[in-house]
Formats: sequence, C-alpha cells, structure tokens
Amino acid sequence: MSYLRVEHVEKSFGENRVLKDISFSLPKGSFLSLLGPSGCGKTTMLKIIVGLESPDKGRVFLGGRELTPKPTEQRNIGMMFQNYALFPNMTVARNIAYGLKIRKRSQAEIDEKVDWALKLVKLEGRDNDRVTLMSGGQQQRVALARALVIQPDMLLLDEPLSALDRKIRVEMQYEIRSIQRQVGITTVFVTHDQEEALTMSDAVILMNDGRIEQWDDPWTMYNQPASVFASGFIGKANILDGRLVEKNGLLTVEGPGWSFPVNERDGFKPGDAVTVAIRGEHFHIDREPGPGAVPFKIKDTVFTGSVRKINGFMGADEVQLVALNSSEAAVYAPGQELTVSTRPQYVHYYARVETR
Amino acid sequence: MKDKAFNRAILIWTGLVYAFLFLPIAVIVFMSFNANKYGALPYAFTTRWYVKLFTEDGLLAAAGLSFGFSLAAAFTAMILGTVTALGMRPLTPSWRGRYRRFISLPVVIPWLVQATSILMILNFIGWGRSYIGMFLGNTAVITPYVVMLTLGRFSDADDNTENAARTLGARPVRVFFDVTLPKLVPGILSGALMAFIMCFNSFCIQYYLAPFGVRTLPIEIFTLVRSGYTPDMNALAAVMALAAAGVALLLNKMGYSGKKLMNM
Ligand SMILES: Nc1ncnc2c1ncn2[C@@H]1O[C@H](COP(=O)(O)OP(=O)(O)OP(=O)(O)O)[C@@H](O)[C@H]1O
Ligand SMILES: [Mg+2]
Repeated sequence: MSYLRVEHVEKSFGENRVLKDISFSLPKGSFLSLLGPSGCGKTTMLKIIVGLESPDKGRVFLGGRELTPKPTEQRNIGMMFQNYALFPNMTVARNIAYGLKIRKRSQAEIDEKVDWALKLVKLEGRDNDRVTLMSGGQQQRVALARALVIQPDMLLLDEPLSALDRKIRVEMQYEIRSIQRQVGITTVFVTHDQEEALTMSDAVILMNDGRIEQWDDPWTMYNQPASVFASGFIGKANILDGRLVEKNGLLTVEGPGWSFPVNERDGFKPGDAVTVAIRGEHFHIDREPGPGAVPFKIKDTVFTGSVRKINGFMGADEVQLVALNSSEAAVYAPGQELTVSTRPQYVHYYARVETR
Repeated sequence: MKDKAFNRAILIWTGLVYAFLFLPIAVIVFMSFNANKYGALPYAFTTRWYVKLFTEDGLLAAAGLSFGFSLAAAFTAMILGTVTALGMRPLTPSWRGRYRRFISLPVVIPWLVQATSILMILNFIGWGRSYIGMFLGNTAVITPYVVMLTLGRFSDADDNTENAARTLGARPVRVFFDVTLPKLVPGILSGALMAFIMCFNSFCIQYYLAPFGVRTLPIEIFTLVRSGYTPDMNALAAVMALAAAGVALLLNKMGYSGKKLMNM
C-alpha cells in the first residue's frame, strides 16, 4: 500500500531539465532517502512534494488524495531545511508554537504540545532561549520539533545534517531515525552522503541527472548496484574495462592480466565488452596463490583507522583493496607481491560505458 | 620590534585624524559658551547665546521647519523605498544588481544637477518653487537610501524561513508580516534615519526649490552667515551636534541589535 505516490513528474528551469519522468512511492510510516550528487534534482523533488515548486508534468498523491493543486500551506507536510530556517526573531518556544498559532489552537493546547515536542528532541527547559545563540545541532532539533508539533501527514528533510560536524551528525542521524519510528511518520530524507542514506533508510532512491538510477533497500543498493554509476557512487568500487569469455565452461570476465568467474546475467554473452565493478573490500588477499587467484603488486598503502587501503596493480589495472586493520594488514608494504581473489557474486558487470 | 613602532605610528595617525574630525565641533561647543560676540578671547562663560537662540531667533523656527519637513520626507521615502525594495525581491540576483546600481544614481549624481533639473520640471508644469515641489524633490533624492539599506537585508537564496512558515500553514500575507517584515525592519529603519539626515542636510535642493521667503534651517544659516556670523549659531550648532550624536548612537545600536537579531 503506497501512501506517498509520485507519478511521472517532470520539471525544467528554462533549458535545464532538472527532473525527467520521476515516479516512486512509499508506504505509510517508512523512511525513504533520496540520494544523489549535487544538482541532480533532490531539492526540487522535495519542493514539488511540499508545493514550493509546481511540476511541469506529473502528479503527487498523499494518502490517495492528489496534492498537486493545493498550495503549500494547505498540504500539512512538515519540512526541515539545510540551514535550519528558524525564525530568528522568535524564541525556541515561539518557533515551535508557530504552526499551532496559525492553526488557532488554544494556549493550553499549544503549551502542552510545545512541551511534548521539546521533550521529543531533548530540549526540555530551553523554551525561552534565543535560537540564534544555539549550536547547529540544537537549532536543527528546534527545526525538527517545529515540523513535528503540527502533526504533519509527512515529513521532508532536505540535507538537514550537512552543516553539522561529524560527531553531532552521527548522533542526529540516530536521533532523527528513532524519533521518526516513535512518531511513526512517513519520511523522505534528502542527502548526498551515501553512508547516511544506507544507515538511516528503509529504502533508498539513487538519483542522477534528474533520473532515478536505482530504487532499492540499502542492502541491495550496496550489494547489487544496478549500474556503473551506482557502484561508483555507493561505496567506491573499482571500475575496470573487461570482456566476457567462456573459460573451462564458466562465464568469466577478463581484463589485462586478470580474470574472475562471474554469474550469468540476462542479455550478456561471451564476447561482450563490459564495464566491471568490484568493491575493494570484496577482494580476498592471499599469501599463497590459490586456484583462480590473480597476481597483485602493492604500490602503496593508506592507513585510515578501521581499515587499511591498499593501492596496487592487478595485471595492468590499478585497483584499491580495502583490508580490515588487522596485524596481518599492517605488514603489507609497497613492492610486495600477493595474489587476490573474489567471488562471482561480488563481480558486477554492465554494458561497456566510457568512464575514463 | 619594528611592528611595535609601526603600530604606535598608526595609532598616533588615527588620533590625528580623530582630532581633525572632532576639533571643529569641540571648538564650536566651547565658543557657544563664550560671552565675546566675535568669538574672541579672553574666554568668559555665558549661556546668553542659548537664551537668545530659544527666545528671539528665527533660527529655532527654521530648525523646527527643517525637522518637520525632513520627518515627512523621510517617512514618505521609507514607504516608497520599502515597497520598491520588495518589488525587486523576486528578481534574479543579476537583475536585482542592475536595478540596485540604477537606483543608486540619485545618490551619486550631484544634487546641484538634480536640483536644477527638478526646478526646471517644476517650472514647466507650473508649480515652480513650492512646498510640494521641495517635498517631491527632496523625497526623490533620499528614497534610494531606504531602498539600498532595505535591499541589504534580503538574505541569500539559502534562507528558507519564508518557505518554512508556509509549510507550517501560514498564507503568503501572514508570512509577509510574521517573517519577511521583521527581517527587513532594521534595514528600513536605518534607511529612514539616513534619509532623514540627508534631507535635513540638503541645502542645495532646498535652496533651489523652497518657496520664496521660506527658510529651512540650512537656508537660514546660509543667509545669516552671509550677513554676518553671530554666536547664537554656535549654540545652535552645539545643540544639533548633540542631537546628531544621539541619532548616531541610536543608529549604531540599531545596527548592532539588528545584527544580533538576525545573525543566523
Ligand atoms: N529556482 C530555480 N531556478 C533555476 N534553476 C534552478 C532553480 N532551482 C534549482 N535549479 C537548478 O536545478 C538543478 C537541480 O537543483 P536542486 O536544488 O534540485 O539540486 P540538488 O539535487 O538538491 O542539489 P544539492 O545537493 O546541491 O542541493 C540545479 O542545476 C539548479 O541549478
Ligand atoms: Mg538541494
């Protein structure tokens, strides 16, 4: 049962086609992320849902009713903006109460709901603080409280965390998700951070250049990227040129100096030129060459804390492996020769696209 | 240690500039209490000139006229300027920039030129020198200050406070009064104050456009100076300096609290 339904939405600004036939839906109470690079049309999509932009074509439905003809102020959709967008001339409590005042609720009800909202975002007792003097994380909590206190039919968040530093950001990710579950509100979250999208969402829509590139749950999104773009944007896969061949009765992808068996896919046959994507952490590093292993020569290694990144050459192609930071990984050194292997399900291939 | 010497030199220089700016004012306040009619020494303290200023002079009447007139012109400029600035809001930044430069022309073009051309127009339509002509002319040259200072309050494209208010259920009119206007008020008020000061000062426009026999303060002072300087003008200058300092303080405070209010 879909609650929000977006049907064939198109939007251009002048010559610039920002959204090209976008359709998706999500069930009540679920959390969807719109993920994509800067300028791909995420904000525009949110603005169309909330009515701050109108689509050139297409329609938006919420709970079976069409939203598109209604002005923003009648849609009852809560929204959080990247730069908080709090009212600087009002205190915390007055910011939160604003939507209720507009709705002409009684003062008793307003007080009660503002208290509830302050508690929800853990800002009890901060009623009379100036919002301009609060930290970014606190301002964003006020913005969330302000959006939720009107009991909206849906919540939209436009990169609400991107202005925060990493620690507070992770904290807020967790907090937003737990509040969302607690309130049970259907949510669309916009981000260009793939990790954030994968961490928080029930479903992720990956957008690129005004189109939906892939729409899946986070696990599938990561493990079965639907395109070269998806493998490059979600995690950072090694993108290589290769060719399908048949070897010992197995479908195999072959590049200059390396080859790996792969799973069969509809529409591909031996002889096809393909683009191959393999994630760094999906390689297995072997000391002793086993069957199907490929020689690998280390160029350099980068220590990043929990993992060690190992750059080197697999045949003629340069790739990056990612190894957990174990005592074993610590001994890898430039010039060292190893072998690497992987499993067929980790080797993704797509019709050849020119990436470099 | 070169730095230290350099800093000291700069500090002394700054002091000299301040002295240059404020010495005349100090002297005039000092002299306004001097009994000698020609501002000569020896110094003998008196408040005679203040008494004269507030009892027998035309100066005070002229000051009153100027004050009232400037208030009316500044108020009109405030309304006109605010509406103009609001009208420029939906424009794209590059068009807004063009209009902003265009509207600042009346500030840049010498008032002498403007006063002459306004007088020509007024003569042409048959109003000539008149209160209404002086009012229109003065309002025209001070309105740009309000427009420019109000435009300065428009925040960047990233400011979504108005959008936020709409998502919370406020209709456009409500959004205007709850969110837009409070954001612009500091700009509007400092623009109006600036306009008032400029109008109060605008000898040139008033000299050209005031009806014959009507003397605003700048005209009155000009006339008096030509016929011979009297110490009660020192007293007036001192009073005005005090009032202006008050206004400057107010402006400063408004700018400050405005900033504090709005810095997001
Ligand atoms: N009001 C507008 N007028 C003209 N062009 C616009 C307007 N709003 C957005 N665009 C353009 O539409 C494209 C998509 O913008 P949008 O803000 O939706 O991107 P985004 O995915 O949210 O990017 P970001 O991650 O940078 O916020 C951009 O090229 C942008 O310049
Ligand atoms: Mg955006």
